[in-house]
Amino acid sequence: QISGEGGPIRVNADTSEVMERQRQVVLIDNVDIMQGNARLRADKVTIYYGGTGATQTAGMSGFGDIESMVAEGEVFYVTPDLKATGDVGTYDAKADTITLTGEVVLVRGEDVATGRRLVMRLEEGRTTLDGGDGQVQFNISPNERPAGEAPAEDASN
Amino acid sequence: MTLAQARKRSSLVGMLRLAFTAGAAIAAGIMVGHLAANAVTSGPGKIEQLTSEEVVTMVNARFTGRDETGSTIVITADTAQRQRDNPEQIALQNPRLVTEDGTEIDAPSGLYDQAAQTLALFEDVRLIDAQGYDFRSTSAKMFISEGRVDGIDPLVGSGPLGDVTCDTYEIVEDGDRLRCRGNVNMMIFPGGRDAHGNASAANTATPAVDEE
Repeated sequence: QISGEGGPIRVNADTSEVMERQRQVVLIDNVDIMQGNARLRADKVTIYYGGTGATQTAGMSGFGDIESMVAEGEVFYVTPDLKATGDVGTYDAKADTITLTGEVVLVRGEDVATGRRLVMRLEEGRTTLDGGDGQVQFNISPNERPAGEAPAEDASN
Repeated sequence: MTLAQARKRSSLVGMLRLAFTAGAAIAAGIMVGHLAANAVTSGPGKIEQLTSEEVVTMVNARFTGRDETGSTIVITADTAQRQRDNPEQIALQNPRLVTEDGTEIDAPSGLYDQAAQTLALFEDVRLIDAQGYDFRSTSAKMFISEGRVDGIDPLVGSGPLGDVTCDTYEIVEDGDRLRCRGNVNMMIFPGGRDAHGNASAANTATPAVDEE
């Protein structure tokens, strides 16, 4: 899943390959995945299914549920709250997280942050950015705040 | 009748008897010779070669073959008609191909090439397999011995994962891999189609994907 809301996932791509035995779906070139209000774009996305055969879910035979997704090449992740880009994006169903690594840029409203690793917890809606062996850079645009609201703290790794 | 006349007549009869016997012997010889010649040239059990004008039509035809893994493939058809110019090519009506693992492919018309071991299907091609995939297209070419299907026309399908449409497709490794190319649109139902109360799109001509 790429959205905490769940629901059907709509996929567009130039090429796809469904591999029954490995229980994988590979999407290649101009991959555009939408689910609920979240969207993931990348050059290539591989979806791994965790099925071992029959599952409780009616209608599914063999493939089971999505276990993880790996997006590679100019990865964009967009929700109404944030936009994030990175080199590689990984969704982990068990942890219910999407992790972007590489040259990570996170944009929220007018604030921009860069780092090496961004972890987004879908259900909780919590995002953690860390600089890896470098620093996290924050660029916060202080716009007119109502009186009494404390400015955002300066995070350091 | 004088003695001379009688002697003359009996020699005539003798000559005629001789000529008649010789004629009979010659006729018998010709017939035996013809039979012998025919037997030598045609040889026992050799099927007479079809001339190009002759068209052979089989009703309720049935062909069996094997793919590269050795599993049996059966092709049936309401009628099968050899082509005039190429006896290896057989035009089929309502052909249906069934594989050992339960995959069924059928169409209103097709062309089976015995030499090349290919089956080309036209018009409304439908493929259903044991895993629950249901695909439709307007053409498909089966490479029977390779266990491969090639489709140059758009594909609409649904299966355990969800729904898919694309411009061209290829099914390889005996149905283990489905490759779609060009405008691939998928609708994936995490946890299965019925987990979301999603209507099965199997019968609709185009899956529930709205254009952007």
